[in-house]
Amino acid sequence: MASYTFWRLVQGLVILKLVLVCVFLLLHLTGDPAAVLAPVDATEQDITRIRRELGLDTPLHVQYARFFAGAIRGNFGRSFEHEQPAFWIVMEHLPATLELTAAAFFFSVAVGIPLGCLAAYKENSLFDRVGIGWAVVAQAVPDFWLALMMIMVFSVFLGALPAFGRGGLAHLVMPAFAASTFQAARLARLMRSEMLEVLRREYILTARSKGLSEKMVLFRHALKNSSIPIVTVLGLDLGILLGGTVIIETVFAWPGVGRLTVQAIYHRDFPVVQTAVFVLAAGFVFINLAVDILYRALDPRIEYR
Amino acid sequence: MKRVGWLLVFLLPLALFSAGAHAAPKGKITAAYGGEPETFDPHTGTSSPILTVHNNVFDNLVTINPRTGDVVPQLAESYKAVSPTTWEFKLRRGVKFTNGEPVDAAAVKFSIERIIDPKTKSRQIGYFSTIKSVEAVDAHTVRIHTKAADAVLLKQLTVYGFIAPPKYYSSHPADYLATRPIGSGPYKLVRWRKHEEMVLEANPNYMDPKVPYFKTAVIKFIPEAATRVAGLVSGDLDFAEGVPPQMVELIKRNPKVEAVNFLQPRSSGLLFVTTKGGPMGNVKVRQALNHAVDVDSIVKNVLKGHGRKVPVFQTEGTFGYTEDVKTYPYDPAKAKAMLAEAGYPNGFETDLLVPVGRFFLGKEVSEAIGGYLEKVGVKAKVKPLEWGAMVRIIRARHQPEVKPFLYYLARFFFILDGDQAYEGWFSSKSAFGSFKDPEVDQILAEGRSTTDPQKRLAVYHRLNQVIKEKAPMIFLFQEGTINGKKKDIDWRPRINGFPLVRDAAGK
Repeated sequence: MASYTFWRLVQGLVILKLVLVCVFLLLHLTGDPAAVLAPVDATEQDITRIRRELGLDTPLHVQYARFFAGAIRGNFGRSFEHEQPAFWIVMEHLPATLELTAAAFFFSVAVGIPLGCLAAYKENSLFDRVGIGWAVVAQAVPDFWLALMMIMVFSVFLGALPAFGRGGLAHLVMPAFAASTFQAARLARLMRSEMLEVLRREYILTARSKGLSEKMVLFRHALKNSSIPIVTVLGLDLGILLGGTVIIETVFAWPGVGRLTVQAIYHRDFPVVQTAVFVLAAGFVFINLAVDILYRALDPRIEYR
Repeated sequence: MKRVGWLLVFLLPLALFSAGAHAAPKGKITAAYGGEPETFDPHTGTSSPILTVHNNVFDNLVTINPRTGDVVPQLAESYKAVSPTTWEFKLRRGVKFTNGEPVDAAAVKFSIERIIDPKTKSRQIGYFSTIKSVEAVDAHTVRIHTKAADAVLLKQLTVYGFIAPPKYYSSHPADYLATRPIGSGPYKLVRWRKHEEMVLEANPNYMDPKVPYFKTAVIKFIPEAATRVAGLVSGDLDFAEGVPPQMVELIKRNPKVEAVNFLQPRSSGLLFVTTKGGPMGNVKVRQALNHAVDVDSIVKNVLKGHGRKVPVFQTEGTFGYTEDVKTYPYDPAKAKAMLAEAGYPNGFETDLLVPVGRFFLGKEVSEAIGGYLEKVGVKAKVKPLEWGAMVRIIRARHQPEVKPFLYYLARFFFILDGDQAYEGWFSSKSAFGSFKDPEVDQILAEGRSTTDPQKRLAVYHRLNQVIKEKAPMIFLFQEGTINGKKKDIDWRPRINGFPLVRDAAGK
């Protein structure tokens, strides 16, 4: 187990290194930051000066070497725009993203799993049809539209929730809900089909025939056995939420890493983009590692080598 | 504002009683902008969020009259050109920065020198490239010496060149200064949470006792326009910048708020890559295409009336504008005839590049233009691009394998000067323009070096004629903008287009 964890960590580091290489190269393919950062009335001379100031006048392999030498020591360079170390800026935005991710994740689990389980248990009932019907619609609704509609209903017409910004629980409800709807719906559908399959297995029949209560059958046997694919999906979902709430962050003016990163991409603020991608990728790798370790708790037959 | 409203009712008799004496700043205003300053260092950035927000904390030597646009003293008490290459500023006495340092000649010298010092890596440096030296004559007199006569410098100083306290700015590292500004302006920055909000608190010792009106100003940064409008209508905001035309109805339905239209000193056009010959190198073709586009109809139907056709690139209210230059009338038959005369009876094919999400309805306007050009035989393929991607193509325009193209750009003439309208794109030194013409270069240089305002005005009148004839772009329109605000707030953007918190007041 310990050596497995160690090797997974090494794998994770290799992945992170590859991510950094890709981000570095892709960004440099998108064009000259100096020209994007210069005022629109700049002269050729201004652009040459900015390029030199940002260290972009050296050959690509030199920039690459310098970037990696820094990154290994945790120094991701200074933001081209904010005049501060890129790492600070990303860290400043991380709590907001974690808060939104955690809340959205909680919502999607709290809605998706019970809905899926109950729908499977009461297959073809009205509850099943309405619930899964909702899930199909919810998966198809664009989050941008949903977010704006929620603002119109809950902020403008009802005046119940603040339309933007980060603050208390009231600020969190709409962004978290909008960010989690797709995941909750997908989770419900997946949970339902996994559960249906498990409920048809012989050991469930055995469990029932030996007189276990329905509660026991459902929670102790069916839920646990159908949860392995669900845990995988949850792990992926968490990663997606972590890096994929850009639109929600923009609509609700949520001060998170996603919004920071998109703006940094538009402005070709390479150090900030590189740092943000690194931090999010590290989060993703860590979550996947945690998921793999969780498997064992759920199914002792899985071996680690 | 709800609370402020009640406070006003309560205090009204008191205010009437003490009419004449000025009341101290009170209450709170919450305003939302789309863009956020990248830094709060006053001397490095050039973006329009920076220019909209920094002046709450900092003052300039000179500023503009918000309604007429005339240059008026701010930290300076008076100014004059003592020679063609020397500007002299007499400073107001007794003004202090909020950390107690005096606003004196040394502070002015320090601030300007900090911008032009290459170590600062300032992107404002280009606007002060003619400065040779800054001389502190005595504690309250400063002279700026330039290498050559520079008539534009004074205008640049209305927007750039904030005066900052030397001891503070020379004793802290750049990382620290980027978020902790200290100036002499009407507000002090209390808190800044990036991508969220800035909280400003009135400077009790501000040199103008009438400013600011509000004791606390909260500036929210909300990128999505629909969310800003929602915040205004739901009562969380007192002011929202940039209302989309289709949301004006929502504002009208609420009796407490209103939408205010404003014509900005900002103009749009389609630039030709003229430097590679072909049809776009031919002035007849360029003039013909100016006749081919029905700009009035685009303003009416695409912009829903929020704009005005311009004869040349400059807009009314900017120095050098003249009504003598008439617009190219919409006349597709004439356009076709001129194209035939120039040797293109069947038109030609080209790309029309437009940045997405950068200019007011840029993509929709470009699509309309594509339709008009098609009618005279010019097949312009509209290509909406991300700004950085478009900059990349523009920067490659002189390379042999790149075919000439049309590109949509807009400019904001916030120093209200003809030089800002034309130098940036029509001088042969421009990094983004594609027009090289010795006559235009010569007139631009003359405009910069003529310090006598009357003579200078004549130079720009001539330049406007020349630019119109040579048609380096399809001239389009001056852009309108809509802001939303609570009715009990008195707040208009300045004539140079900036809605400044320091100008806001209650009613």
